[in-house]
Amino acid sequence: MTTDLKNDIKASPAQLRYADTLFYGALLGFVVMLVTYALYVFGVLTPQIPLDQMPHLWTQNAAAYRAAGNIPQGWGWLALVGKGDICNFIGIAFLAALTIICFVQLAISLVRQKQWIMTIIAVLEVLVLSLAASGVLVAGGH
Amino acid sequence: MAFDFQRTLKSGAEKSVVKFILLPVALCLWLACPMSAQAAEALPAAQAAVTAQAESVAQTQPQSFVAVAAADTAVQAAPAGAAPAASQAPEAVAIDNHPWWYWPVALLFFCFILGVIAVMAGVGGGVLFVPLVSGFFPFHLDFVRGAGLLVALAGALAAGPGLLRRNFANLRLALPVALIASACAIVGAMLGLALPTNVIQTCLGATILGIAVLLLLSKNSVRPVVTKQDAIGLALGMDGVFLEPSTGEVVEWKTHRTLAGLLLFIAIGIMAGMFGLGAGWANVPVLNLLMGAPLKVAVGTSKFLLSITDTSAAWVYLNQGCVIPLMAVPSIVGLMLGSVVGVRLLAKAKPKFIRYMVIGVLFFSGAKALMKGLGW
Repeated sequence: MTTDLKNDIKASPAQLRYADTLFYGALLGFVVMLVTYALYVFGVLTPQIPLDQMPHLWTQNAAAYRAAGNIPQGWGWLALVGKGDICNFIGIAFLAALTIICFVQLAISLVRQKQWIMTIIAVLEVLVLSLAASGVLVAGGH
Repeated sequence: MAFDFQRTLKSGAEKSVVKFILLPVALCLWLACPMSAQAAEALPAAQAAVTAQAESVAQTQPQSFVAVAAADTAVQAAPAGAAPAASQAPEAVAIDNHPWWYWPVALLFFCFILGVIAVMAGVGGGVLFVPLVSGFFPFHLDFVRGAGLLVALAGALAAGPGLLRRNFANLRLALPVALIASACAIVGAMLGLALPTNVIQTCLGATILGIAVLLLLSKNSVRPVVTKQDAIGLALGMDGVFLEPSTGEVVEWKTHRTLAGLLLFIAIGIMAGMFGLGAGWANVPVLNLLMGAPLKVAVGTSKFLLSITDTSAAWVYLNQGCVIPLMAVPSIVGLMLGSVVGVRLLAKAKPKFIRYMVIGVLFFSGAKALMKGLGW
């Protein structure tokens, strides 16, 4: 086996860094998610919507659920983060944001390696995911 | 008779298959029964509500917590004159009189079983989660899709690091594909939330039936022959090397038909976002059969891709209030625990048989979703 081939078998340093960030980030996100969920269901934090009303709300569509529970759209939940149910979004949003963090890190690595096509793709991906996360895109309710 | 039955269970493999198929099926039935009974209980309420709606058009809508039965039930239950009024109603919802913890706990166990089965059948959790949970649980499709995306995302985030470290997920292959799929998943998610629920339900049913056919017919190739890499694949550096651990062999690979593959990811992204299904069922055939990536690279890259595609769609659902933590978190935890157990059982069970069982379940749940969407 040639030296080049041996090196190719290994994941690139950028790929390994991506994997490490994903691993530790996901671990942290899952722990936060479980802790906040426990605080919610065991009643440590008062929820925005009482638990016993949930069975009446989850049968309706998202628009009705938001209206009945005064659940804000987009990042409005941050204002209610002290509520038991809303605080669950910390872990969930962190898990959803993890890929953006990984791609920012990857774009920096690719710039250093002067891999311009891949850098452009990584930057575009960050923009696409950031747009989705921004809450600007609002679908019409049904 | 009992003695004969015991004798047939001599091998550990058969025991595992029986245990892990009969048990899930029994539990699924057990879980489904309360909803069926509930639907029957809801029928008189549906009749009353629909009749009232027909009698007094000017009347305001009933209180938000007072429910009407599922759309199909409402239309069937209504008298002829009331049917148009029922069909014009923007949403019809089901009664749920269980305590708040009942369905989350049921979901936890259900998703645990789903996780076991999904791993053994070689499919992602999302593709089973959305049709089954929307079919047998009282949650609205909006929340099921939101949770389905988070379930698929969580699985991809958990598997991603290992796949990247072993080079089974290739960043160079994943990046261009992910950009297209994630951008289109946003469009799909917005479409999915804008269209009426019955339209989405119908399309979901048709898609699930299509996936079942795809799983039944597609024969993945372990190492597709790619004689010449195309220009786009070459420019994007879509090639690589990985070590096959079972044989110690070094496998070199490259892609072809890259443009066709990239175009297909437009449709895959839209469907992933629209139905909250995850997209492993489509990623693998496109990467493997069309673009010529080896099966291990296709599977690994597909799983990693979900962490990107589903992220963009999940954000749209999250921002629209389509994620209910009370049901989403047990789904994620159950499916992840089930996947861990499924991996351990993989050596004992007969994955081929389970795969056919899953295809059967997909046909059933697809048909159910289709009928529900069409109001049959």
